[in-house]
Amino acid sequence: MATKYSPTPRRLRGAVPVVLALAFGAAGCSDPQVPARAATYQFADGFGEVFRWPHDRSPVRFWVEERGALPSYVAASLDLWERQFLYGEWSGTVVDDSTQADVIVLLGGGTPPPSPLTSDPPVRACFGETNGTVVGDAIEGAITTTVFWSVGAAATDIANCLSRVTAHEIGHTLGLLGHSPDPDDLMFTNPTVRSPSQADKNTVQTLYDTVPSLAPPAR
Amino acid sequence: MKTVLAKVFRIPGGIGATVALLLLVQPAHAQLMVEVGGGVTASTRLVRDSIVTPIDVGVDPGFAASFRVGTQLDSANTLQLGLSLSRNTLTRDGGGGSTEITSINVWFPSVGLKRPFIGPTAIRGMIGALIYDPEETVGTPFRDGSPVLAAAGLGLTYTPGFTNGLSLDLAWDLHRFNTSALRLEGFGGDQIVHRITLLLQLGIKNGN
Ligand SMILES: [Zn+2]
Repeated sequence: MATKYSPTPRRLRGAVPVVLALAFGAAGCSDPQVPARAATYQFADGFGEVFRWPHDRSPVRFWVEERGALPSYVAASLDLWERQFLYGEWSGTVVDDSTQADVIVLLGGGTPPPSPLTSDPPVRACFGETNGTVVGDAIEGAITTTVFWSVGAAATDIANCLSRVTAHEIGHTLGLLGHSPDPDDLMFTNPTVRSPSQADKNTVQTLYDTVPSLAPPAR
Repeated sequence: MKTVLAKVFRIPGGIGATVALLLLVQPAHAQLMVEVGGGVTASTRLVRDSIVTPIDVGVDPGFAASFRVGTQLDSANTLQLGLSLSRNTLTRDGGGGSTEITSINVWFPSVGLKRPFIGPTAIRGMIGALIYDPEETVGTPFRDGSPVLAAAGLGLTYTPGFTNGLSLDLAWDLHRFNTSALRLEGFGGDQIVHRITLLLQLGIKNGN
């Protein structure tokens, strides 16, 4: 039943017009400005082939050799690359069974001396390689990444180098098959930085909005 | 997983607080009116992007639930506190296909004023906060956090006399969408987002 009590009716009655004013004011605005994000270096390989993981293959499965700090370098690298995307285009996960993996990550040579990561200047105390077998228009079998470290180098330099080279090689497994000419980019031939730059981000986002010419390995 | 909600608005506590607040402000002889509803909600896009091809990101139509509690202020006006939830999928459309990014809950706590309109209908205006609560945040527009966004809306409730408290409710609301990740990415300005919600709801009156 209605009541006679009415604390602040006049003020509250204005709520509907205020809502309408907000609505019409907001609706008059145009779409936000979209950032320009052209690829800044070549992501195709030397033959012009373009590879990226289709969305239905995410998360891409990585099997990692359990030696030294390699698993932690790979986990950090997957997280770094996943953060370069805005619309869930790519994600990676570590799996226990190598036969189920899309990418195999190995450590070449023996187990490196343990060392925490530091902010020391980069030293070339390691290198890496990533390989896949192309048959026709598809990659056959798992992609293999191996990182090697230099015997005789300081433990800290080896750890720092393996961390950034692992991130660089994981970038190759995403489909960044070329290299950046800019040493500030993670995908520079001999990387000196530990995480993707704006140029790396622009390039990988461009790659993941480009139609690939190579299909991923079958599962 | 990041739960914005936990920081901003704890749901069971939120409903309890809503009822408690209304009981406090409720005039001595007024009625407390509760409306509970379920239905569907649809939304315009959240992001329009273009990297190589145009990309639209938005939430797909999904299930919606609503809870509103109100107290009559005078013969015409009812003050309402409400909370609605929709469960959707965040989707990326572009490049010739559509892909699911993650599941997302959208919460809308609001305060509004409802009054009779034409015949068996009532109209209400509301203001509140839109809260996007995605299941996954990494690699999404919510990777650097989900903002609490100011929202406003209008609703029209149709209550035929013979339905014993059942009514149809059609609501529209809008907000400006942006996130820290989008701003960092270089997006300028906000995207205006409209939502439409259709509910079948049950009204319960309590008091004298
Ligand atoms: Zn390389």
